[in-house]
Amino acid sequence: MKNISHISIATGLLLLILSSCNNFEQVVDVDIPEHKPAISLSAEFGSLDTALVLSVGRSASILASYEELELDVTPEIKLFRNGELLTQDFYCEYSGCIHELNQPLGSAEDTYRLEISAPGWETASSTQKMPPLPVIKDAQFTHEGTLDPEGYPADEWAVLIQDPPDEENYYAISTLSVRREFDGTDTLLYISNYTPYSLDPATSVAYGASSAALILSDAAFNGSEYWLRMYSYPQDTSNLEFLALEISSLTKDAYLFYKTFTAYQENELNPFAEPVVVHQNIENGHGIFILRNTIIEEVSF
Amino acid sequence: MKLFYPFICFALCFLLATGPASAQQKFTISGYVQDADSGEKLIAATVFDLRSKQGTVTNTYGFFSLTLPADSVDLLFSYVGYEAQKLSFLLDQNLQLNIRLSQGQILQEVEVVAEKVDRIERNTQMSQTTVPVEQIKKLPALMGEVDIFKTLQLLPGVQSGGEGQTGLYVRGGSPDQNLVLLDGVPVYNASHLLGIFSVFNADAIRNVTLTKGGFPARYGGRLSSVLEINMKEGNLNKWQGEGSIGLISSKITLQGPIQKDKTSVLLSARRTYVDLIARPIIKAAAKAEGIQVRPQLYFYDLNFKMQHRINDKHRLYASFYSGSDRFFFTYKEDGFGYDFESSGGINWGNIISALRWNWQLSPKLFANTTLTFSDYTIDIISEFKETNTGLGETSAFSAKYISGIQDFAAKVDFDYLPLPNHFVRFGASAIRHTYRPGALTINAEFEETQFDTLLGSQNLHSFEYDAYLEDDFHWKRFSANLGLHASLFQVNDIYYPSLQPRLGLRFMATDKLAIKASYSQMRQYINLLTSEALSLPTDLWVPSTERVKPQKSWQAALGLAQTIRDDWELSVEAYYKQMENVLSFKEGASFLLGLESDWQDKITQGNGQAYGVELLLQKKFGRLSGWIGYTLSWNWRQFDEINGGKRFPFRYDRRHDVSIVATYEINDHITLSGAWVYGTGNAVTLPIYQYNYYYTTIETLGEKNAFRMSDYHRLDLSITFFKKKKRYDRRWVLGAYNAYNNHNPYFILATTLYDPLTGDEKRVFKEISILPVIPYFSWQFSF
Repeated sequence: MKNISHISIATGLLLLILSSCNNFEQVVDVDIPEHKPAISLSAEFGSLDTALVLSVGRSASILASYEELELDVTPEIKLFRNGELLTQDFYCEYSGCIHELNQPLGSAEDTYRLEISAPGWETASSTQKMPPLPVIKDAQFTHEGTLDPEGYPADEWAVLIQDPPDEENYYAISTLSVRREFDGTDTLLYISNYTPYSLDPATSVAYGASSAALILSDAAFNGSEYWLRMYSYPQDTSNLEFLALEISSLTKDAYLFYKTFTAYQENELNPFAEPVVVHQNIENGHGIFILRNTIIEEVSF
Repeated sequence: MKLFYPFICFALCFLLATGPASAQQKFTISGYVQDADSGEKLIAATVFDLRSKQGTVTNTYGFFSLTLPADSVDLLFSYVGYEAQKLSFLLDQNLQLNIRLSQGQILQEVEVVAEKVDRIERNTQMSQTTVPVEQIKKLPALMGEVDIFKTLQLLPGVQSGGEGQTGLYVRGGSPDQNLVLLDGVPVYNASHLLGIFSVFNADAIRNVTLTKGGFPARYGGRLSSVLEINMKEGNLNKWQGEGSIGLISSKITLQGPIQKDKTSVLLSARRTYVDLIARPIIKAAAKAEGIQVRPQLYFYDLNFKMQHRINDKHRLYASFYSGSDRFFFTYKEDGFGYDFESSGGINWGNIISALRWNWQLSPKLFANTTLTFSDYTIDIISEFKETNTGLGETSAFSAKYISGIQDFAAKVDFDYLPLPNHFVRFGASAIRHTYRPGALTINAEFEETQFDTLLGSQNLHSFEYDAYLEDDFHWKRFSANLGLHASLFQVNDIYYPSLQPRLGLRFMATDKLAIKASYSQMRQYINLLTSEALSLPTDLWVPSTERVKPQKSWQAALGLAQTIRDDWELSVEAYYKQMENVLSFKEGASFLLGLESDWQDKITQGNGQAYGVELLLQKKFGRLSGWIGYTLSWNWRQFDEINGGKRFPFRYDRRHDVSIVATYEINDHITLSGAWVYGTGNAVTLPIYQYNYYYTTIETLGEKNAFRMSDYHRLDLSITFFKKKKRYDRRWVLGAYNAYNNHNPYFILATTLYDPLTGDEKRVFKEISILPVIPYFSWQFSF
């Protein structure tokens, strides 16, 4: 009798263990509020750009398939500058659209309005003003002039920004290098963009669609001169043709978008991180319209 | 100094109020009530004069003082579960008595009178629960590890965080708003194994009291609760021991006299041994690959306590706790022409010590002076060393991240019992906090480079000064606990003073039914930066600063308390709590703080409200014991920088929370225990729509915490077989956590299901569970 009870307990425990070793996840019904689909838009125009590239689609419920994020009709795109139509001649294929300009967009502080319409869809639009061109008083580069936080030698960068007073300003900074290399038959030019890093607490690294930059607001130095010190991993200076800092002024919407989009990407697979709402600025639609005014500041090396 | 004038006036008023009430000569009977077998002091034992119907209870150190008119007295000493003692004599002088009560049957004729004093309805204090440690030890436990925190989570008004976590969310507060005191010393990280187990070894614990509201003036420094845990003092009469061997840990406790009736010690130790079991397997597997691996994955606790009775008026206590978690790996590889060795891991733990001096200054005045030290440290270590055996060159690198908090404190508390209907407490304390927000030391030695550097934040110091005065007085059917707590916090050159009034009222509507009300204000000057979802050792304690204001709260409660059929206690309480300057991470901030940024940039402050009704029906003793608890509650937060400034439910806003806990002794050899819990699902934030940003799909969230995960429910069961052996007693405990294997959600996410047969894809929400049914056993012994 005693043996039977022992065997029963052992069998029971074994069954408990076996029955517990599956189904750690289950599909559940959640009562999600109905979503009204709208045109979505992603556009980042720089003052030095001669090609205006944007992406157009539509929003859909979170439980919709990814195919449903494509717009099933060709959109009509209009770009206005200071209220006048600049162009509506965009070539679109799938979700990507492009327009080639005869000259760069320009650094004048003009107001741009982007309108996207499509049959059966409410017109989506966004209006942004080109931010002022950054005023750079000095830019320096020292090959292996500093150490990174882990103690390795790093190239040092420094830029002296003259910030305009009485207004909020936002900046994005990356490095630009042109390298000449001979592969045995031809001489090739390589153009590279790097993201510098900084221990300055006002800065953070932000990601866009295909590039990254160091971004900062002028909250800590509004209206004054500010030396921003940065570092990047050492590069071979022997075959460099050109080295520069690419410094852009951003709209506030652009700064908020880059901050939130970066946090969104970093936390995407982390169920314990605080959730992020990515900043948007499209009326009657979703997405972002960004303007940046860029200056290229060459440094000696 | 301005702040202290009202405090002094208040003190004088009390002294006047507690002065001689009549010209009749009075004498004071004072002394200690203790366990006859072990010499342990009995807390809240009743001392009652059957003639004058006046009585009192013992304080935390077993001390009592009762001042009565010169006359004959029939003094009854009683404590639940102990045989009462009655002493009759003529009181014609001050008297010192040390009473020893034996465990056993209560005399029926004195029980009714004796228990009246410490019944729930007689106590002015509301929103306070004491769970006997013996009852805690009988309840089912996750993996057989008896856990005080997990038992407290079964009480109304106390909620657990994530599945299996020890965090206590008391009346809408967060875990850092609980003041956890071990022998009066704050414990900053009360959990092991990422919050799965608490640091308190139940075998070394004497009593556990949780106060959720109506805070008496002697408590301060946290918004939501005070959890007082007292270690056993050690048997003064004989040597005793107990221990257990379980699935994941073993523990042993020894206690006994060094000098009988004068000096005793207690030593308790616990260690998990997953690494000891897994090490040979891991080593063998690694050896086959030509690698040497040494894993260390364990936690341990050590408790030590010593008491020494100098004489009847002076006693000394020293208590010490050390506990640590260690997740560490060492890896060694001997290659062709090189040796490579690396190690890394994370260690965290508390060291707590207290030196206490009890001094009976007079028959009516008792003083307790305490010096305490508390240290919580976390180290994250990464090291490697590579030797080129041919060239004799060595490269080495080591990095160590250190963070934590350290306290030195001194405090003095006085208990003054001028009359039977007054219990005055006053005292003061000073704490020096040292915060280490995070520092990284790096040492490296390469071919041509050597460096040794220190990065990160510097240590930060703050000082916290507190003083309090309270009187618990009784008048006919009324009683009140009136008090004032004054505090001053200094960090750098910033001072935060505050006066916090406290009030508790009780009115006996009938002989067994009391109506209670309370109001209390609290301040909190130190904050824990932590994820809402997970307790990590990297959670950081930081002070209030110029930018980060102290947290504030006020709480009001109204309730009924009644004893039913002498062995059931019923309490119903409604509460409202308003919190200001509570902390939250900003949207998108990661709870893993980097060295590169100021923690103050990642947080935001806002307000919170919590309100609800709690019901507790409890039976503490007898063959059937346990309780039924129910909480109906609402819990809100509002931050300017979160959810567009709109109010939202706190993650652990739980509309309904039910617990049914029962222990039934079938006979002297078999005991059955069970606990069933049910709670409304946690509030979560979910994405509601999506769109593309170039080639990245962005999911956009709905309102903060606007959705609910599935409701939580779980049944834990255990059965204990007891047998008295020739030299010792033994218990076999078998049990199961989550006995019916409910898939309680830990988190929820939107994901895509792919059907490999049809190629169809479907977007769905999935809930992820982590703890299925977990059977366990343990073998326990005592002698």
